[in-house]
Amino acid sequence: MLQLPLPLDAFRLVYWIGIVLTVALAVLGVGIVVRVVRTERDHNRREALKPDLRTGLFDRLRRDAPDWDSWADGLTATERDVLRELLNEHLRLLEGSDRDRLQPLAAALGVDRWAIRTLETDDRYTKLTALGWLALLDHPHDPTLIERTCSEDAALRAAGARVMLEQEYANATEHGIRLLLDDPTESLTAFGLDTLYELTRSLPDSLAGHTRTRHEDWTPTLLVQVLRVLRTAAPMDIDSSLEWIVDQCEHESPAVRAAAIRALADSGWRAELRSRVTVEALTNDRSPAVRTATYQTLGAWRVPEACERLAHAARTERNPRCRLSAVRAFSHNRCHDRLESDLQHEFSRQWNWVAATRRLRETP
Amino acid sequence: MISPIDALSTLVALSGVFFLGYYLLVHTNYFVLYLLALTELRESAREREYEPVYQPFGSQFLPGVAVIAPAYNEAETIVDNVRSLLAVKYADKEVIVVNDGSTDETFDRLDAEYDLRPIDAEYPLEIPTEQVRRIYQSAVAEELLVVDKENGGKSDALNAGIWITEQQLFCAIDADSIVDRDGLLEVVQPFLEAPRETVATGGAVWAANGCDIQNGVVQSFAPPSNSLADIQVVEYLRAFYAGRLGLSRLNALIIISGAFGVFRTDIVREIGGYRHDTVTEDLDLVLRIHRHAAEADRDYRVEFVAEPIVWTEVPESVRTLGRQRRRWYRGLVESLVTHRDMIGDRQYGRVGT
Repeated sequence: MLQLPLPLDAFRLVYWIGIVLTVALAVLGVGIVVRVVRTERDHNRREALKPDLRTGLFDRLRRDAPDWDSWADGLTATERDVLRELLNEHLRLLEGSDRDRLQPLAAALGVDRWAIRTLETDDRYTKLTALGWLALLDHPHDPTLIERTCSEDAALRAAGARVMLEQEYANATEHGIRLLLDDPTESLTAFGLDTLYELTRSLPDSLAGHTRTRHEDWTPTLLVQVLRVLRTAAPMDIDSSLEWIVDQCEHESPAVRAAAIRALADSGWRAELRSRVTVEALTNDRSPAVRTATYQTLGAWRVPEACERLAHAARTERNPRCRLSAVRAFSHNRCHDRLESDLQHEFSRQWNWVAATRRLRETP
Repeated sequence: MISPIDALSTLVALSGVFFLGYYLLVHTNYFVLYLLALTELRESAREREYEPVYQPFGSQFLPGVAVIAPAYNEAETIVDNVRSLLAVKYADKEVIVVNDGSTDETFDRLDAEYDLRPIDAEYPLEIPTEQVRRIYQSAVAEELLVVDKENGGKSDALNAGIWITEQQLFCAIDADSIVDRDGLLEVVQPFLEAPRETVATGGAVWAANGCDIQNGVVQSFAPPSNSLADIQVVEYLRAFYAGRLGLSRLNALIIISGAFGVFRTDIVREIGGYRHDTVTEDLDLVLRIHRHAAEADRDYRVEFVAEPIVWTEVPESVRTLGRQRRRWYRGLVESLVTHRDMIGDRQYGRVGT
């Protein structure tokens, strides 16, 4: 008989590895099944408790003295846990006095103290849950604690800034801006963007001021996001803020140039500002995104000088999609009849499309 | 001199070693993938425990999405399925149904149900597809657009929608699939969390056979009564919640199901949209997205999201299943051959290696 090319020990080793792996997988499988069954049973038990607890919650909410403390003290640990879930749900749904009357229940369940304590934890997800609670509760605390403990990533910073917004701190805007824009290399989440907008929508100059002094370290993406918030917020009063945005129209990144010219869409009534914007350079920009943004802004300005620019842009534009934007912006403007009929004739295909879609929108 | 019995014994022993080695290699690979998938699923579940205190639908920063559904001879189901797409919860959404030269009543039924009004002008941009006859807007559902075009196949129909929409993202969906109401917001989530990096995301596909579906909404789930469909339920679960979730963790996901995926519109236009000359256009598109992003040295992510579900009917006969699988494997081989230069090339990151 021939000797096998591998020693018998190697087969034994493989054999035992197979056995160990099979047993390990079997144990893992059984473990998972046991866990799933337990979780499902627990879930059903909790769901069964909800109707009574919800009734109890609304019943007490209608009373003059809800006496949340004694109710919470009389509940089992599972019931308290389910009640916390219901409280979270209803704090998001209710408004006004009902919401105010529900707040002491959080204290009775110890949620506020737990949330503050949890800010010091290293567990990101638990910390996010705690921040979610703090945004719902009227529990006074030090905003610097949030700044100190919630700056690890974009999601935590957004959640922390939201707490500042919801709690309406005296300096919420400043603290919130600082926290959200703490990392110059990380872009904001959609939630972070919304929070930045809500914090600054009535005071956009403070955001513009912060950005003016810090933006050089930022990634273009972050700068674009902030410019987008500035565009959506209320018009700025301070000329230096607008001047800074005008300067960004010459930024090296096309995305920033496009966002900057878009941010000026609502400021077209300022003749001095319009004269400072290098519209010609922007309509000749290499990037189609910048040219499209410029046409849209010119359309929003609704001033006679924009008509000439847009008509010229439509004639010289090489990119068909950008040309359509120019024609659309032109049609939104109040341009004089001669120019309009010329453009209508030269770009009948684009013009007819824009007119047809508008007609359809306006048809009841 | 070796006797035939000795030679046979040696052959059997050697093939045993080979198969055992192969078994160990494949299963170790799966085991690692499953562990990664478990970690990803656990993190995703924990992340979902935190619900931000804001209304995403009221936010001005939610990216607009065009839901593009190509339809070819779908008269029986099109009205219910469009109703399901219109019922999907999302603030800035446009539903584009592309009637790809249907020869049945697909268009007429859409017209009757949704009161379609033609946009009375020729579309002004060149679209790299078969001729678009006319574009219609619904008078009863403002966000519904119907593109009526000559037949060109699924890729062609998707491309028509991609070139017509002005939304930042588009969601490719089969017209005979049903999306969960919250599904779109869930599958868009990575774009909200990492707007710069995320270029494509996909959700899970579940078998709708056996489900109670009313007015385009899945009311309750039940396993299919057909045993072949039953096997596919398990197969889909394994493929999505182990395979794709694990690969997504490694940023090595090479397929997003054609039945439900969201993509950046500008990037897909840049790479020329879906290709017509492949049978698995979804796999090819994701591979080309990887290639495009890697060659541009871009920090990007293609993600699988566990929660959103799209429901689709799976084959119940061996013949249909065989045809489907032949198409899939032919497409896989085609794509691997087309993109063979990516294999083993470190430039393409984990997708290549």
